[in-house]
Amino acid sequence: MNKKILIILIVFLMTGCWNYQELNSLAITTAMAIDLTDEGEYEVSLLIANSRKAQTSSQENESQTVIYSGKGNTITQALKEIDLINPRQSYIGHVSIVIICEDVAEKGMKEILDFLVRNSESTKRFQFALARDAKAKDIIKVLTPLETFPAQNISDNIKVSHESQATSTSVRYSEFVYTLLEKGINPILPSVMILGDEKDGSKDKSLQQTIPDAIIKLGTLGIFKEDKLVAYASKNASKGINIIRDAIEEMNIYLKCGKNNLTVKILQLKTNTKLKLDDIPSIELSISSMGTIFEDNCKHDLNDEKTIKKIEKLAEAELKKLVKEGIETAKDNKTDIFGFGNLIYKNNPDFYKKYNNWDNDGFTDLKINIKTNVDLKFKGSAKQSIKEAMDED
Amino acid sequence: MKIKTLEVCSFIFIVMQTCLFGYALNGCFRYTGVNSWIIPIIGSLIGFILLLLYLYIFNYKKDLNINELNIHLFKKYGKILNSFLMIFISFLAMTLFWNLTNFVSSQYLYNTPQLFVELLFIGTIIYIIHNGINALFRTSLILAYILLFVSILNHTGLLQQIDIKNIMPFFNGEFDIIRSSFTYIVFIICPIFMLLIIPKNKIDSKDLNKKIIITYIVTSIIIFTIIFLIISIFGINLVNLYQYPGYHILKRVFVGGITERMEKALAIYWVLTLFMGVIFCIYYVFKSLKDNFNFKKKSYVLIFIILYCSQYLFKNSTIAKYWIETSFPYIIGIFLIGIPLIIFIKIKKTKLIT
Repeated sequence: MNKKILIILIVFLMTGCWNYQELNSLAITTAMAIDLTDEGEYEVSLLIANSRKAQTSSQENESQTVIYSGKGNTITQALKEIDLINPRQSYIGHVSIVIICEDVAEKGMKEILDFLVRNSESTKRFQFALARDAKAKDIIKVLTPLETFPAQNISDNIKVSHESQATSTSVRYSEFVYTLLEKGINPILPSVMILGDEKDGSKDKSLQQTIPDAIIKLGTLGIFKEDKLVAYASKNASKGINIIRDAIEEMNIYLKCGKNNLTVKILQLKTNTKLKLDDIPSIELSISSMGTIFEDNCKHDLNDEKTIKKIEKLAEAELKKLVKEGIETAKDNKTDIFGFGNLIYKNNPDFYKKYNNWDNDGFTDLKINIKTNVDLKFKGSAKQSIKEAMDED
Repeated sequence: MKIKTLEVCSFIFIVMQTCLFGYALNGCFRYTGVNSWIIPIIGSLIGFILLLLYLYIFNYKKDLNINELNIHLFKKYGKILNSFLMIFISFLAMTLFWNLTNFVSSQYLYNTPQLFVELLFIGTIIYIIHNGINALFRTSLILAYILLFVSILNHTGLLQQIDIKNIMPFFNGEFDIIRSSFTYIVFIICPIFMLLIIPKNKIDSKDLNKKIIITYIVTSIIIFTIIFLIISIFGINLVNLYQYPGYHILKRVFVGGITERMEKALAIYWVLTLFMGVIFCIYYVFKSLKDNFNFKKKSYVLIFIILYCSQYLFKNSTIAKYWIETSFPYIIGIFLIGIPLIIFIKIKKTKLIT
């Protein structure tokens, strides 16, 4: 008898139907944008992958995504505002990117970080980026021809660029928080901007054209001091910063040979950072890489070993120049984005404690030696340049 | 039917990890910070003495469990000692059950009333206890296999993310290695005491001591890797930020693109270790009620009350966390190190007299 009662109880208890959520009752958020209003409130925008419409996407002229925005003194307040206009329950477990506007980043990120750490739905592994010269909301609005969801477009763009370009980098949310909490290192963030008219770019009509009205372009790196955005690095400085942080594996270097140009693709880029602790600490950066000639419009004999050596030297000098520019940008802004202070702290905490403020006292005086090595192994499919071959004829 | 040696080993494997999540982990990180990875090594070495103490008591009278042994050794005071132990283990069960339901409610079923979650677990616990010691140990063995599989998956998916910089600077700053090791011993080694509720002659005891020691070493290595992985991947600052770093680290598990975003499934590791810990504690209480007060059916009602009341144990998680990390280890120490020491001395004296 007892067993029968138990079985009946189990049948009712184990159905898993308590407060269940059907997929079509959820508003699956793929991107989040955080802006600051003129009144100093946060404006949070959610890009919802509207699942019902996405399924019937073959119907033309129907947007597959929708953006809801809400305002409030905190992120939670703003999200609750969205709940008033959103017929479904917002689900942020699938957020792939969070875009922050410059105003929020300049004001300080502390206030907006807590919500996403505390929220148990959030994976903390999504991309984190800055909206440069635009509202974050406008960035996630822009429709793109290659991806169904704008968020996926930005996220993929950052991922691909992170692997093959040096001007941008992929920073995940947990990495940003980690850097912020560590001693002797400040965070960086990639930036995204809109090229074209964002109003037209958010309309489906834009996708019916060969050249869309607006497109999203990756910008250079945003440099932070603690949780505040202090500057944007230039294109070359961004490359240098990424090289020092050992954040990239390949990049292109554009060299000059007289009036002509030569492109060397740098592969297997590896930066080793060594610390020397004397009265004044110094850092030795050893940058090693392999190279391949990608495009050659110069008049030189690539079959001559001396030419190869010369190109290697040019590439090494160019790498050094980029790295120096990265260091100068960081020093000008008095922010150790490379984690040299962190390296000192990890190796000799007592030495690190000598500095009241590492960024202002230690980093700016830090001596940094740079060694670069480019090993030009390949020349691509051609043995020599077309120019050289034509001259031979 | 006798309990198999492998089943006892599975008991040791689970019971050593039952207080790891939310107790030993948090305690170690609190007192030794970035140096926490050293604690399992020191704790396991010192804790080995405690394991030998338990095994000594376990091997003394092979036909008696701890309750009967205490009555045999201390006569009328034995029941008092047993009652103290029983009350303490009930309390341990309550805190474990609180931790289990709190974790499940906060990370999985945040929309489901906690009472409903509790009832689900209570029903299962009472059912397993009702089926007796053999069913309990069989369950333990099956779950140990599942835990081992999940453990291998978790470790494989995390190994590549280790960053040695995160465990640096080595042995720097203020860290309380003694307190941390003590916390480790009381939460990891002391629960093995519950093994004494089974008389040794009920176990197929071929090479039992040797196999228990091997299981102890293997489990200690697993615990070391868990702590090492958490610290070396998150760094101490992120570890201190999260309420359950042991759960959040599972969000990083990535095995060749197959096991991404599987933290909710992989966290079954923690759920099962906590769940089995509660069952072992409750079985201890159930057996003690039977041995000391001849309770049978009333025991189920008492077990239900104990588990149900666990939700009123702490006002909130902040109070619970603070109390568990600061005062609770000493209480465990008094009961699960102090009382076995008294028993050990009494056995030695008895042996000397005879």
